[in-house]
Amino acid sequence: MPDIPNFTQESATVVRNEPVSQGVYLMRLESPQIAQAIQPAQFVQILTDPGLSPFLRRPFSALRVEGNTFDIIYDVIGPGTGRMQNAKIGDTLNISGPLGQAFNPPQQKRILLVAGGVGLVPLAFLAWQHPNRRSDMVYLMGAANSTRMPNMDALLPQDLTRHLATDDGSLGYKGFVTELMKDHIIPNDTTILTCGPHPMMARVAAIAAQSGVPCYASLENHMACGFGACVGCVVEYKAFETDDRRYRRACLEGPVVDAHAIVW
Amino acid sequence: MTETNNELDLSTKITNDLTIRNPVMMASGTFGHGAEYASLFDLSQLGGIVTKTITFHPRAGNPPPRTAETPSGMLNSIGLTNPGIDGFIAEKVPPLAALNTCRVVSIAGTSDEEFAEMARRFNDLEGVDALEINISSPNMKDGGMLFGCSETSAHAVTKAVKAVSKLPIIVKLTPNVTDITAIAKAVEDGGADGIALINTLLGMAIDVNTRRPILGNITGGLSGPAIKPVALALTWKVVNSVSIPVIGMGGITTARDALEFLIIGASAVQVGTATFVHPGAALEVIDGIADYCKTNGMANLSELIGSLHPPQAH
Repeated sequence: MPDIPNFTQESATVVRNEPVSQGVYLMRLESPQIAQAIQPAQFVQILTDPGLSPFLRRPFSALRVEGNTFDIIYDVIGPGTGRMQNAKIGDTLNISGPLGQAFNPPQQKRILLVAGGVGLVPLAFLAWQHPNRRSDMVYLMGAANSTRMPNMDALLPQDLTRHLATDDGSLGYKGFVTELMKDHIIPNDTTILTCGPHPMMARVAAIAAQSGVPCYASLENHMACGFGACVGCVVEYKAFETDDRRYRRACLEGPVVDAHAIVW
Repeated sequence: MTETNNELDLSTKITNDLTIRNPVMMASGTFGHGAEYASLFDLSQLGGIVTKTITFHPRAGNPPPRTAETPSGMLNSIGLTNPGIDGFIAEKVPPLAALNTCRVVSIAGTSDEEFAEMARRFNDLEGVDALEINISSPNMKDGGMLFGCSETSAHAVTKAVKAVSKLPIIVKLTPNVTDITAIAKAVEDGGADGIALINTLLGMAIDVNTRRPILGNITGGLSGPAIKPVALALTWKVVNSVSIPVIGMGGITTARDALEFLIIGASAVQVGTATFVHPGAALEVIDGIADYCKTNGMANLSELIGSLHPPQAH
């Protein structure tokens, strides 16, 4: 089993909590130990309610680190994220992490980052954490429409090349973000990283397979524990040595997986 | 955290021959095979650990999604993912031998013979102190709860395991039966050294937008605080039906929850789903039990176990 280095629980203080697009919020948490340790694609588990509703923690990956703080982006969907939306500056949240395997950029390769919705987060962190590789990166971002598209200038490094797409054409390219991919894939030279809604990632994986380039996906599976104990968040692999390796945990062996190896 | 305290003895018997240092164990299926988490937890502070259930052959488990959150709890349909007995003995038992806590291995078979053969394989293995016989998983179509729902089959499987095993045998019961005391008596009569209960309650959840079941396996097992009152009542019934030690579990999240089970007569408790939310929950439960005993002037946990008073008279 992979080790879980630096795992800790902290009482994190909310220092920012503001909308970045319709229903999507950025929260900055002061959390010295986790801020120091967290890497791209790793996540924290936030206890949104100290009572029992919701009962389970909610996983969020980091957008960027600044000093003792790190940022997350969340879509207000249910009671847990609803409580987060109502958190005031100075409130504290019980968080644990960092969890999951970090993504390390491939050596001497162009990197195509394909993001949808809040899937923008781990890919943006990769760009923030590797300034010396940014000139090798292109960032493609999709959203339903302009009101759901955050101001990416505020979330991405200024020197990162980016192209936006919206389903209705209200901002950037009209259509799916995956339709922008072909122009940026150089066979034998490009590695694709993707995070977003499942159908989008499945399409990214299919395009990568057609183009014969490596592709890694950061999965957003539902999780209970986040540290490998419940074995609930599994993803199915196409090939496995023994039956017990057919399904592997998104939280522990992932969240980044080889997009060509899993069943979409 | 918890320290050895000369004035307070928290030790308890989970079978007549097996004493553990305190009454709090990690429940099967919520803590891997134990040793994986030695870097996150000081396992020597625990009363014991129960491994994820092992089957004879390796098992992939059920298709995802495998969990669904429900009010004050969760459904799971993991389906006993495990490396099989050969893989388990080769890879997971050696790390268990190094752990300074009571190590219970949970096993599930598809026939009396398979249960017995698995039990036999654990004889004389260093690192295993007892077996928990899982006849209660709602997620195993070819075994599990099938054995735990009838007195005849529960008795037969217990007897088959006892005939070959040199280890203390604890049988884990399902709440999904008409009369759990009949099953408890059947396994006691079959020779069980202890009883653990409850496994999860059969449950289901639907996504009303898609009108599909949320779980890939359609149904699953409900656990977490939502089931605690059910678990407590069933544990109370079983404690009053058998004379072997009973380990109570089901939704235990805090020391107060654990105290309720001990007061009604459980010799020990297991903490399960709470660990998913609060990895250190079991350690806090131990501390809370110790505090309660001290506050109430108890020197020995036996003063607490089964100390239930009758209802308030009006």
